[in-house]
Amino acid sequence: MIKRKISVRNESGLHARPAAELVKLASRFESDFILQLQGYKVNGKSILGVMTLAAECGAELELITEGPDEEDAMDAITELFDNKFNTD
Amino acid sequence: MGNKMFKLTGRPASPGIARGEAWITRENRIHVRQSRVEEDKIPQELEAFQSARAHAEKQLLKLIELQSDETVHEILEAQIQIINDPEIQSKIESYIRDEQFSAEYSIFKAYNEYIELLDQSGQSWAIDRSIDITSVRDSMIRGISGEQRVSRAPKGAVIFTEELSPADLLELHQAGVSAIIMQRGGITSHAVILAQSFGIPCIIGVTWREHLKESRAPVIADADAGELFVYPTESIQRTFQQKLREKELHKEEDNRLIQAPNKTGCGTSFILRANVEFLEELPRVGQFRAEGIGLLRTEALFLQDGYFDTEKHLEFYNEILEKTGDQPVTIRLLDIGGDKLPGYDIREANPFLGWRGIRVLLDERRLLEQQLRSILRAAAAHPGRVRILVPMVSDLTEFEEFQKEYDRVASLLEAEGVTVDERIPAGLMVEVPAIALKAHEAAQVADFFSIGSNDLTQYTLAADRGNERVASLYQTSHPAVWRLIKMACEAADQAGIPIHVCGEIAGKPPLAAALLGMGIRELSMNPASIPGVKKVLCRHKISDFKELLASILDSTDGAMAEEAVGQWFTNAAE
Repeated sequence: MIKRKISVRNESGLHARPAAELVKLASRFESDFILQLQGYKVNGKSILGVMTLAAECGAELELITEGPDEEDAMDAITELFDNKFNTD
Repeated sequence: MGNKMFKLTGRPASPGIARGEAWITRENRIHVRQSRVEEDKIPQELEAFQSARAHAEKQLLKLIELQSDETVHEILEAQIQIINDPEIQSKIESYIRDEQFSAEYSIFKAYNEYIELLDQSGQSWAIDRSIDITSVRDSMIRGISGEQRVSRAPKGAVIFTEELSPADLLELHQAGVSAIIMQRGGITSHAVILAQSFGIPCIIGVTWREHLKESRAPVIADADAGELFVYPTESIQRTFQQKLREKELHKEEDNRLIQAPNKTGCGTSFILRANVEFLEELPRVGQFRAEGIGLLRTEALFLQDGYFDTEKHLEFYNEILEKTGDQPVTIRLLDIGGDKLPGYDIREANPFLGWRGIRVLLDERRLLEQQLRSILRAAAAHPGRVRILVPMVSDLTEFEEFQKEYDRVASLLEAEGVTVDERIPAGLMVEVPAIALKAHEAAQVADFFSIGSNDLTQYTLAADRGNERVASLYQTSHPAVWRLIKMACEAADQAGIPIHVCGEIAGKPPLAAALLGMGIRELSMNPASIPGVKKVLCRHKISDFKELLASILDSTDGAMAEEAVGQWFTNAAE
């Protein structure tokens, strides 16, 4: 299991298109992917879960991946966050 | 009388001014009562859920295929994610299995938990998304119950509603309503996008429910400003009469233009035709005086049914031909990806470089035969008017194979007693760069060329405009694309075959002008683009268009060409 802390840096936060991108990417990996915000945990492969997390710009998230490709998954996901979901 | 005027405001979503009587739709949110099933019915309910899920997904996939706008694609793809969400699926299944709730109620309950969470947040983005989720929920539930909504709205009414599904909007359009006022609804909702394309004025985000209690109240809706007046005072009525008169004047100017002959400032004639996919679009073809149809898309009908219904297609082609006077109609053969064929489960790494268009039709000969039968029978009833267009040809043997199949079907039909129209021109769609580069050879086999500029651009520049990361590389005025068009043009000229353009560039006034500069005289576009294009073409001379074309061809890159085009257009408008 890998845990990593990350902050949401794109302006529009984690909804609509960025949420869709994140779920699409996470679903490509076999590992489970959990997002945690202030104690609230959601399945990162669930678009509804990610939407209801309602993470705004500046939110501090904890990412957790667990499974055979957990490292690759974590790297890819972190990169997506770092690139601000290719939006701004 | 005696009703006091009140004003409501909202967000303009589709422009226009309208007046009419208010008409309030029935409360449209589905409510499903809690109900349980016997234990032995559980497998049935699970199956009902899965088939409703598959049905809802299929409907969205169809919509995706019918829409070319990438924003719409994105929205629809997000809806598919909502349907296939792993958390909600296991939640629904557990409601059915463990609580023995009916499939309908389980879907209702599971989605509502998320809808409530989003609504409670009070954020506007969350409310837009909750509308999307509600529409997914309802389409799944309707998939089980088979129930339909919207009742008949009177012609000319101003519709007051909470929100609308795409199907509701289509129905209201057919009823001929004059404006739509929505309490909810996002600027990105499907209904709004459709209202724009049908030219129905629409205002969203109007909290009308607390104020407007009854239908039939007189209303003036100004969707340009996002304001509406219920029980308007006389002075407001006068103001709007004035505004409407002004709009009418502009319309008259457009009308005069539309009635005028298609001739450039120097007297060269040109032809403007319409791109059409649905029968509902035909009135607009007449309204804008399009000279027949330069591109009839045939995918929608096929995808609606999921199989090729020869009679239905024949009827569709006949109706189109009957309603377009004596003008030609160019029917494009099915241009679909193999993944849309029933019975195939195909995932390709590069669908746009994959099995699609003529490639599919040559492998699925029965489908090609069925479509040719429908086309040839329609042509027999309307001799001299039908042309066939073959999509996605990348190798000339494909076109020759098509011709063989055509001859075979034609003789089959003759043996069956159908009088086959002697010479139906078969055109080649120039959309793969290889064809443009070998245009001289292609011009020897094809009866005409039609430039499919959208695909030609994407294949030439290797950029998918739906992919945000590279969309800026997709440049319609890129000199490389225009060189290919020029090659096709010169080859057509030399071989003495006609050449048309049916891609999006034909509908953009300055690019249409550059196409005339190239010697092309026939353009096909969305009917609504015709007045704008015609205005520019009528007011200038071929020599101006040639200058513009030269500046595109001589540009170093797309950005430079784009600037030249923009500059030319600004000067042209003065």
